[in-house]
Amino acid sequence: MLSGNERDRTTEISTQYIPGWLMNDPVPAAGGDRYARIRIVTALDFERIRHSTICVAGAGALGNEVLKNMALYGPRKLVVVDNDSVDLSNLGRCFLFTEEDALSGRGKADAACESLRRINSDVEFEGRECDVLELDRAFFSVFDAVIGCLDNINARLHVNSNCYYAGVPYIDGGLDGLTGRVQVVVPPEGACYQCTLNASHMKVLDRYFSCSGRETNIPRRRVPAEPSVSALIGSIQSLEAAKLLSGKAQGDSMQFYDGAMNWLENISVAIEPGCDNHGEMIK
Amino acid sequence: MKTSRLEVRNTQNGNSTLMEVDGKTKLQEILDSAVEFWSLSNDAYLLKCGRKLLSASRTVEEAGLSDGDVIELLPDPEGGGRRYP
Repeated sequence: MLSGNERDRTTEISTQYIPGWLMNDPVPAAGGDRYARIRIVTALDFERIRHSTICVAGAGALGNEVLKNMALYGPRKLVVVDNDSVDLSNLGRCFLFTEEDALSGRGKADAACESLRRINSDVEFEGRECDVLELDRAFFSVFDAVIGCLDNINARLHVNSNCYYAGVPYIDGGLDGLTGRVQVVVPPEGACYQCTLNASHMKVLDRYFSCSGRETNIPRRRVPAEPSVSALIGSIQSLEAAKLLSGKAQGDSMQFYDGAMNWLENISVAIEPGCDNHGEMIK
Repeated sequence: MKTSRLEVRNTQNGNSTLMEVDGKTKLQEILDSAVEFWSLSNDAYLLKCGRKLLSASRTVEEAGLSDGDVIELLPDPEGGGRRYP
């Protein structure tokens, strides 16, 4: 037990080491509303995030991580698009889904929304159980940002160009085992997802589409997905979305992560002169 | 035509190889040769030099590459963790 004098001395010493910015912090150390700690992140414009409407395309491993993070920010509305149903193999990396969801084959968008409502009842969640390829520019144009958590190049191209033409920022994410990448696309000036593609991407697309343009029945490679890398890439996407909504977008860039080689790098991306999304139409 | 010796590095395993190319060589040819040289799977790849993504449609000259430059081959992760059909 400390004597009165010792207690006073301890208090005096402790306060010497409290940084000035913390002493002036207007938010009480304990209590406050659920967003109290996010609100004091000065690099973000929390009010703008709170008033935003966001679409997350794809509710797989990446989508689960992005949805959780975005729900915690408390935007006005979060729309989830996915036409797939929950499967037992999803449970190893998708924490928004339950065994009951998998056993009943429940739609991912619907199952994700139910879990998200438990995470933050402040937010309006809407599940769209449809193929993202069926959605057009009019659909995407109502959002402040679209976050792509998709599993194939074709779907990415579709969302990327619709968002670009609608003038809506698009944050694309991709995973493969211990590697992942995030690209921030900010129209109308920035480079887009399509700008980064080359003939190797076209070969991948060719594998899945016949000469008539119809999708073939050739089984796709099962892309490995690891929960920690999904969480990391999903978190980078969410943070980029929050920065973008705060007016601090950093387009023309791609963040690349390799968990096996332990590196994370920011790579600059330029507009590809031949890219369809940067022609006369959008000027 | 002036030729350049470029070092092409595979970021997946750290291996590298030297390629002698002329200024008119398309970067796509370098990408394809590297994929074939390392017998990599038929997936999507990107090329970068330093912290800049390279456009595969450009030539070595257009990309401003010169003797001794290091270009890196990256796999472009396609998945989003969804279940495939």
